Amino acid sequence: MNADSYIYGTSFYHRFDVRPKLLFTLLYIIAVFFAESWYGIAGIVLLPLLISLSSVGAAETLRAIRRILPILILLFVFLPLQRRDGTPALVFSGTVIATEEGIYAVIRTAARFTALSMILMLLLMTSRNESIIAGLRFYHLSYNASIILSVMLRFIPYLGSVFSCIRDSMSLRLTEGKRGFPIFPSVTAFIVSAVRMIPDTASALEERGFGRKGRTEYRRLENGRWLLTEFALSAILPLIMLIIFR
Amino acid sequence: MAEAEITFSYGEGEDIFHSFSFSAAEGEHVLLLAPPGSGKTTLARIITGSVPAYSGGSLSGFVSVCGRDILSLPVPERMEYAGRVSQNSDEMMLFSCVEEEILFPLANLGLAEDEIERRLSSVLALLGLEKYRKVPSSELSGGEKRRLMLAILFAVDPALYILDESFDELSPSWRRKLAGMIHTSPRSILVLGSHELGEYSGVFDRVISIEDGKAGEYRRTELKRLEYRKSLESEHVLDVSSLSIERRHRSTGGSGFTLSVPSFSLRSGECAVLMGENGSGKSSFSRVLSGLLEEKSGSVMLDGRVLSPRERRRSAAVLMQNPYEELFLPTVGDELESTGAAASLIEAALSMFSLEREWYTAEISYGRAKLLQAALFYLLRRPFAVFDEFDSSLPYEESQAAVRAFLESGSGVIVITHDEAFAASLPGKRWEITEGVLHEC
Amino acid sequence: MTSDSKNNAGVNGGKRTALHISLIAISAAIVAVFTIAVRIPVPATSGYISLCDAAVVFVASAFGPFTGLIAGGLGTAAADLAGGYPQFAVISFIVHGLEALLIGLVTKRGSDALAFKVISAVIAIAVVAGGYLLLEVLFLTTFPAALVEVPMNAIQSGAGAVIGLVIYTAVRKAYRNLDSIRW
Repeated sequence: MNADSYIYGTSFYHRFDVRPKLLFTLLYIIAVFFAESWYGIAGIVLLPLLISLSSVGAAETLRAIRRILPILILLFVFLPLQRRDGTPALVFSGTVIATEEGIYAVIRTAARFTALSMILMLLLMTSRNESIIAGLRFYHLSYNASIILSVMLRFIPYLGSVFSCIRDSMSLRLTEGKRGFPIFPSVTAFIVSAVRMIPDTASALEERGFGRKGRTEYRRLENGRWLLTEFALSAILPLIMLIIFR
Repeated sequence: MAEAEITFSYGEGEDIFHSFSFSAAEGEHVLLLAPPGSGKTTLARIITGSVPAYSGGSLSGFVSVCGRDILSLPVPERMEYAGRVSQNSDEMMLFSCVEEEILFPLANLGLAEDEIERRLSSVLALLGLEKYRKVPSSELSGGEKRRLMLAILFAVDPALYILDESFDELSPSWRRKLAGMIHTSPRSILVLGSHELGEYSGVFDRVISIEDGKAGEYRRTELKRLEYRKSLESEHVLDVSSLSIERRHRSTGGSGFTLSVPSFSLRSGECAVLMGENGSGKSSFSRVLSGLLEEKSGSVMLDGRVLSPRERRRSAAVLMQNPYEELFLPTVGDELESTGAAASLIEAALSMFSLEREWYTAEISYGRAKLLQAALFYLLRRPFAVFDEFDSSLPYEESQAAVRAFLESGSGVIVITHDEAFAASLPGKRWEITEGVLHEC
Repeated sequence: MTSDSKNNAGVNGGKRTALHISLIAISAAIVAVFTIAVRIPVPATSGYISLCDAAVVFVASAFGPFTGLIAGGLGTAAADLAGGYPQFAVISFIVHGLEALLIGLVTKRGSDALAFKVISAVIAIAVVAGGYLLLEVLFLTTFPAALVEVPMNAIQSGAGAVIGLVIYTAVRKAYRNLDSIRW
């Protein structure tokens, strides 16, 4: 089990500093909710799609789309229920199947959903978790909160492996003729092992000096040559979209 | 320089230490050898502070380092005085990436940024971890995790180093390097162990022990060759042919390992010893044998019949490196009863492996957890068993007794170890992994 | 110097920030792993029930409403982010955080009474099924599309709440120090 969706790469969006990237992601999400024209609806989907193709490639992009497909299909299946009172657009033997307003509403919702999913997936696929947390620190996420996030991210894959270990060793213990593994004892055993780690981890934090005064705020994000440009781009692009795509 | 006298008990229990005293001069290197359950880890935890702060218990006495009674200091303030490497690396891992793990304590020390950088790159080089700098700690092997924990201690560089069974899980070459690092270190170092190792010779100024909660003298025991009566109960043959195993470091896109096993064979009641560098794939091989990991190609056969991974789970047991990965029921009794073995057999196993039915699994020492793990698989009577670095944290006699018990019950046993002396004391063929190939030597 | 088992805070001068951080982080990881990895197959629908609500309810009843709120929210959000559904992360955070908060407030520690199971199940169903419906309609999808999820969410959260309480009782029996970790 992995707690990150990071895909190794050196593309432009990979190299884009995480601080402006976080700003861009946030502003983009806001802009997405304001897109109303047909151009806007197409634009909000196309931009992340293009970034995705250029940074993580077609296969990963397709995988991300496949995950949101069921919900997109659901949206269109229920299209006939939308805005029954509008102008008829699709009529089949006298019954109004969909109205113009209904079609517009569904396409807009689907585009918004796709755009939101893609822009967030992109953030996660092109930045390592540690740098996202360092980026959030830049936006004044508290130090303790950032430690909670880091420790949680270490424990997700680790506890995942502990769970499969428990499942494995339960299966190594099975007596003849039984299959699989007993779910309830495995789950209880898993929680007991995980809970036991709480005092150990707290102690490890303190033994490594957590809570001392005079801690160095170690800077791990470098201020590259393009940082200001990237910030400007991250602010201006969503703003332009907001204006022309309304 | 470092001096202590302590009395301690966990909650309502009897004293673990009763006026236990110990001292180490500046630059003195002391080896403490004592059997599992005698309180070595508790001692390390008391000095660095996790006991009693996170365990409860009543402690009295003092531990003075550089003339300061560190027991009166809050835990984080003790890091300049004393630091430990735990015998269970997983329990001390906090972050998802090797570099973060080392940077955290250095930043907490309040060092300047360039000093942090300097120490980071120097310990990464010292412990051969440069290429793992950005790798998630979950992708490291047992020995690599141990080296990471050592790297943290060397980076923080306290006045007193405590190494709790830190040679375990390291390959012979890393054991020699660690011995060299200890030998040339100007710091006071306390190494906790359960048996003597060849690599220890010439490194320590003194050897001490714990006896009934007091400081005691260490009595040497000779490591004898393992003798056993061969059981005629069953005659199975385990055959492996043209097996290939692959593991990747997902995060860096490659640079994991590949292991190929052209041919390997073992009969019931036979012993085989397997050695190899850290991260060379010994544990992965044992997981393939027991069907917990899928091979890339090749086959595993029992009595000439190819086994599916599911069938292998009942043919080969693995005593995993970290015993806690296989123990999770409340008490020792619950664990052993879960095997479905007859009550009389469980009684026999309890006395054979020196265990008490009422002990809580979560509270027994690392070494005793290993004995419980052995008892568990002994009762399950699988035709074959892999002991994955079982000898660490246990005296030689106890490791040998466990291997003997399995052999005499008719199991074929593969012993994975980094300990040359222990390996030499075992019967049977010796196998080694060099450059990604498992071969007989 | 003597430190007593009942006075754990003595050595740290009453500061237990490290314990709180570790408690929240590991509880959140437990919830995330449950959401991703622990699934009960449902033969009738050939689908799965995720046990995430069981973990949320366990955390809330074992460690109290505040830890529950943060860990329940953070854990399910992290599972969404890691599992490739980042668009649901914020909604999951709010819904499961609220679920844990309410259940943590009503359950009494160590009580095995049927009434608590029923109350918890009702809260879980109302908060989870209702919460997802409301927030998804507001921000993500359309009303009919979100309505489809309601029955499954209701079953999952109701069953999860009861399973979570059963797990709590079992864990408390197996791990004697459980109560000492709560704050």
